[in-house]
Amino acid sequence: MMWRIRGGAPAVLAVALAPAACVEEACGEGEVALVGRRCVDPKDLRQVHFGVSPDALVLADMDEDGVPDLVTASEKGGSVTIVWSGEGRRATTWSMGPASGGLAVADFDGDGRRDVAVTLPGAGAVGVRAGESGRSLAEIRLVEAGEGVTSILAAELDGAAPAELVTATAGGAVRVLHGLMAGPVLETDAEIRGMAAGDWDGDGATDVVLALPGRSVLQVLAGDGRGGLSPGQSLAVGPAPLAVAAADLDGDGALDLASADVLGDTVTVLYGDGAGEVRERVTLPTGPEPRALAVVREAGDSQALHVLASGSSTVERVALQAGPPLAGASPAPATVLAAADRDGDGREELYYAAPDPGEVGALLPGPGLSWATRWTRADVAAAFPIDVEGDGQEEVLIVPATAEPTGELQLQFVRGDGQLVGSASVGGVTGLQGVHALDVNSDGRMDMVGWSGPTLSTFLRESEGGFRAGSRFSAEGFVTEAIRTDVDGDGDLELVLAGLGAGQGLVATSTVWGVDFSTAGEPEQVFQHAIDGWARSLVPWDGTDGTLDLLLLRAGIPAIVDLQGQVSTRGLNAPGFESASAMIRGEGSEVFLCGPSGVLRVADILAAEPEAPRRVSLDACDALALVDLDGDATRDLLVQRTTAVNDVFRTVLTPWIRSGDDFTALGARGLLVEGFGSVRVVEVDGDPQPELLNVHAGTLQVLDLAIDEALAATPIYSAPRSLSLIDVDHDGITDLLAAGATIGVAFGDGEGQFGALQHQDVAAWIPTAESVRGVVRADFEGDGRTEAMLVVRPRDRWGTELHELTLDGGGAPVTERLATVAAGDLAVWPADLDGDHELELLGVSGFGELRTIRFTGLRSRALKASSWAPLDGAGLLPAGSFRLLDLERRGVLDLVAPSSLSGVVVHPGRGDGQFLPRRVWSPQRGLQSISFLDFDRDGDLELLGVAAKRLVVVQGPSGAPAATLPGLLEEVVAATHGDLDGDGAPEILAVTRSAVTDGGSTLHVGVQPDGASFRFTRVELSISPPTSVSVADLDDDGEPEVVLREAGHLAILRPRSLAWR
Amino acid sequence: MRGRALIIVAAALSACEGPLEVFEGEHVVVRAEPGFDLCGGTMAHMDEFVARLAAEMQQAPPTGDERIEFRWYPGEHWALLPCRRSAFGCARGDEVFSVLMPHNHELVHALASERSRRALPFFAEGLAEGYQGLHWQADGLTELPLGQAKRVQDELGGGPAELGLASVGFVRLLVQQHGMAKFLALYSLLSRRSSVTDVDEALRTVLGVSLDESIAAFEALPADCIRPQLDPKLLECSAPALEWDDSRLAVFRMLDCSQDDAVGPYDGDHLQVLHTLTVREPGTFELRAIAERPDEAVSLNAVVMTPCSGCGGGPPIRVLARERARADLAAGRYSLRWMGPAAVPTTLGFLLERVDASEPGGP
Repeated sequence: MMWRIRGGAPAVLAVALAPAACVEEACGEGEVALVGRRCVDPKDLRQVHFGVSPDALVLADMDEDGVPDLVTASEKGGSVTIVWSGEGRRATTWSMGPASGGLAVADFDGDGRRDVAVTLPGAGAVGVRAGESGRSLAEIRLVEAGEGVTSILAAELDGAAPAELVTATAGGAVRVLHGLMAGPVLETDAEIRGMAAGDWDGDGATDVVLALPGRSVLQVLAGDGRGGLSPGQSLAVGPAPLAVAAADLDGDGALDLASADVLGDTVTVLYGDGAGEVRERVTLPTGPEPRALAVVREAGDSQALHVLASGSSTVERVALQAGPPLAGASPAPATVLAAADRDGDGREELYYAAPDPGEVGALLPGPGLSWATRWTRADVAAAFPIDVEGDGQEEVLIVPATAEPTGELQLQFVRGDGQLVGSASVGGVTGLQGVHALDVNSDGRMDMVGWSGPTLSTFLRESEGGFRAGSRFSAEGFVTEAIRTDVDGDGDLELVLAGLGAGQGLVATSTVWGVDFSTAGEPEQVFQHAIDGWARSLVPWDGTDGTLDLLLLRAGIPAIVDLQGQVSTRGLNAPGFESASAMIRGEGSEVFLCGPSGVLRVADILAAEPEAPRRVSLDACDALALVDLDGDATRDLLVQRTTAVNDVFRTVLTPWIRSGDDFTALGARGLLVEGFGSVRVVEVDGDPQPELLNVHAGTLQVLDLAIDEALAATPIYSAPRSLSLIDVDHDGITDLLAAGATIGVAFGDGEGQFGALQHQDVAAWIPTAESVRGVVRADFEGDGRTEAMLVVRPRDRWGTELHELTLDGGGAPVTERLATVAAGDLAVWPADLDGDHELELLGVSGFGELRTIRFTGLRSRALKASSWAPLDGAGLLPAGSFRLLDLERRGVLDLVAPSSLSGVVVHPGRGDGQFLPRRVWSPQRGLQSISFLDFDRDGDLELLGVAAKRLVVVQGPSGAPAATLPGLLEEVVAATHGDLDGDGAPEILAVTRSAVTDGGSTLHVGVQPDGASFRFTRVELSISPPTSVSVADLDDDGEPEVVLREAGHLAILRPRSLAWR
Repeated sequence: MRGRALIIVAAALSACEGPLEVFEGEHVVVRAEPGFDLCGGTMAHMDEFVARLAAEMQQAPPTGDERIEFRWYPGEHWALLPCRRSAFGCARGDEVFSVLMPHNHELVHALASERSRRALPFFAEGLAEGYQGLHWQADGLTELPLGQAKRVQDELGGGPAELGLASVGFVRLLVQQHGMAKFLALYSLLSRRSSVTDVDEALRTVLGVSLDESIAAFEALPADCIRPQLDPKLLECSAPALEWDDSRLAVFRMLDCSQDDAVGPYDGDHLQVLHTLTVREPGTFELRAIAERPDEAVSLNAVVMTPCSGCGGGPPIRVLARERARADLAAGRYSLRWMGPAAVPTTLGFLLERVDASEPGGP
């Protein structure tokens, strides 16, 4: 190229010289060259930890308003959260670091304000945030404390402020930090689990006591009054103490010590003599696996010891002195306890923290569930209630664990008072799942029928009282449930069975059978009816035409089965019934549904236009019973929830006392169980109040239930469920929006860091809300800015609300309700469904019978909803598993989802918010982390995903079966695509576990040059493998960042573009 | 031909293997597929096993260039194993190839190859199964009965022994009755092609008994004698002893593959730690195990207590974490094994406590 410059000489030389003077910058030392002209420094990884799973709890007045606040640390989440006292249930969360367990609060730096310290074992340090005025903490400061530091304790060891920080490592090294400076190490060579402080030896100096579970001792470290510690006595306690408490438990002025002995199911109390000797040692039994202790100052300054038995998720007040042995369970399984006087009445209350789901609450004396052992029996495999005497009073059938030498089992029938009614030697009854008493052969004596696997066995009562094996019925499936009912209206009871048919890995079909018996006692099938999905919770129902119908849950949704003539099923799925685990009938046409979202009451399940269900309980439930708990002749609800931690199953039972149509929760209680559905609520003693049957570890317990003085839980704070990256304040910098039962924002700084997360009860923003179930982000107004819409579950009503979230001029959040939807479980996507360049909303709801709904009018904020339309053939796909995209390249959005049964399925869109029945786009099953992009720019979309930890690309032309290319990478934990270099061609980003760095990850960035095979660049990262990876421009500078996430932990990689020099 | 085939295999292997990670022991050299780590105590475990087995077999353990070469291919390299398709590993002379780490069964074969590289499979498998030690999976304990006389004859006359059902007991009987030296002499005398008649003749020549007489003695062994009891448990019953007061033992410790006493990872996610315990007075005991484990842990934590007294000492007692058991324990030494996942650290708690037999058990 030539230009003419003044004077006429062409500027060829200048042009020729220019390129030689302009050189592209190279990646710097330690940087990795990514795609295009982008470099990244793996060490420049900005990390924030905002997960909230409280597993450490201290009460301290952080904002100096005179009321202790709840300070929690979250090892899994890497954060500290302070739940402030006062109105509005406000909380603030600060990022601390990975695995930040252990928590101590005191003035460590001598400025008169309380500081917060957590352990950071990976960094070999303690992370300290100094308290500032108001509700603020300073930037985190790392203080060296030794590799693997896991426990910390605040104590005044030298009699003068500031407080010292005592730290302990997993290997048993103890250090005292004075003014946050580490002193010499004291080696104990034993794992330290709990620490407490107090003057054990009465010399006026504070001592420290360590719980050493490996040695089953409490180890005293004697304080010298100047901040130093030296090894003192080793005090033997029960096996494997995990917690220690120090307090004057008997009011004699001398310090006492208590340990929670996890292997012994005991609490050991060492009463001190005030001079360093044990005056008396007492061992008391506790519930299973005691792991935490708290001492509560009660009236008259007496100190009450409380222990958390984690095996049954129940807190017990230990009966050391006067006062009742109260007990109670928290809704979420608690792991720590603490005590403080927050209500200012001079007595402390007991508080708990539970990490999963994240919850903090109080346990206060009040009415609650209690039980007493009526009798027990050893060597039991199973126990069932059965009215074998036919007198209206159930007995207990005990199936022994050990067979007779003949191979037969000696069944026993025992009355409620433990008296043996009869016995029977029977063979071939291993694995009984249930029994009923029934006069099978019409001889006036109650026989027994039992089911196990596909077999229904009859046992005929003989005149002398024994039983003999009768005939059997073989079902084509696995019988899971049976009820007695008069199917044919002849006055005799028959059986209706439900069972699982053969599926394809998951339950695909169930069957319902009707079984009658001949006069000789031969079982005869009277009907067999196939049902899609799992059929359970059978309830006989009088049909409107006088015939018998059957109400049941079909794939978790209520359905009615007409049993007469041609047996058929019709759904009662008012749009968006949440999938239920169990259903029972109440009064009249009332039913209660129980599931992961809590308990719903439906006043009239068969009404032509069923009114919206009412929420009774918001806590997850997997079984429930209607029984009179308080003796007022009204049946109350007993809600069960079973959880497992460390392979230990426990069921927490919560009583909900009925008064009219209102239900009030009382204190809950937990017990160890074998698994889900182990506990049976029965009535075996003739009094109005029920009993429990529980077989655990081969022993049957029969427990009398009652409502008595107990510890009742009151949740105070629930952790957010989700964190979304969104520019809430429209300043061009991405913020973090936390949502759940609380809602809040952490504002970004544009450098990959965020301020503290300020959040509060969602009701403070949306008074009608119980929780935010999802956040929808899109440029609804088409103005280039992304807005946020909240999908909200109302507190007192059933359904879903859509609220827009904005900030007012002062930066305070403002919400506006845009729509209410009669659906309990709604997934929402923004999309231009009709191609008019305006976004609408598509909602999908239901389970087993999915439906779609469309909302228009987003721009004007006057949302208008269409009618519900069925999504045929969706099967058992959850509503949230879909995504909207133009897969078929028809200019219309389709609904696409990975199905574990069928592969990748697509419901082609019609362009009006409705969709055609599904077809299989790819038979590739088990796909996760899926995204769609046109790699090869042929106009068709390919699918990028992870199947069995292998990164795969599935491609195929529209309408033809898609094919899976050979795996690109192995051991992939997360994958996505993005255009890192801005060239319009997407790159693949995948993360694997690092083969180089122990516990690290490797980011692989893949390009496909000129249609050739993919080529990957690797970046080694010093973070544990995340669960997702995404590309986003967080600071609006036109250069995207890579965001790696695992729950509340975000790691942000910031590639930079090379410059020309 | 076979030698040439081995050379070809070796050449092909070295071409396909790529660089291997080498772990040097006193008697074993491990060449491992890159990216896979042994648990901290595994090399010492294998060295001790080879040393004790060699002593049992009255031969010097291999050292220096004679050390057993163990090629560990737990990942993609498994395709290079020169073993039967269904096998986890095999020995080719004094070279071991395996996907498991450790694989003591193959170490027995490797050591026995000094006596014969073409041993009768019935005796070769019986020796390996009989001396390999206790199974490393708590829930996969193979408690096999001895089998019957007919099975002995079937297996002698047939192809490779099926898990050594009868061969284990038969080999151990011959060793216990006639001594290891004589058994190994018998072992060296027989080959893959030996018939039942050849076996009978060798027995008469070396041991002075006929096959029928040996089978009769085999049938007379207790019916409840099972493989874990037959195994001499060379390592398990000489492991570090735990001190206790004969009344209560409480253990609470972390299990981590990096620990010096952790052996594994076997099939990738199992480790075990070996101890012994001596019960001085017989009695009734309660056993209880608990664990602290992350959600992603795959294999379960457990404790297995196995009598060292051989047949008649009672079966192993296996307590999974979260379980309790009650057992009558005879006086004597027991192998006590802690088991857990190898991929993630866990914590195991175990309580053994003497109880009054008349007290009811329960939760």
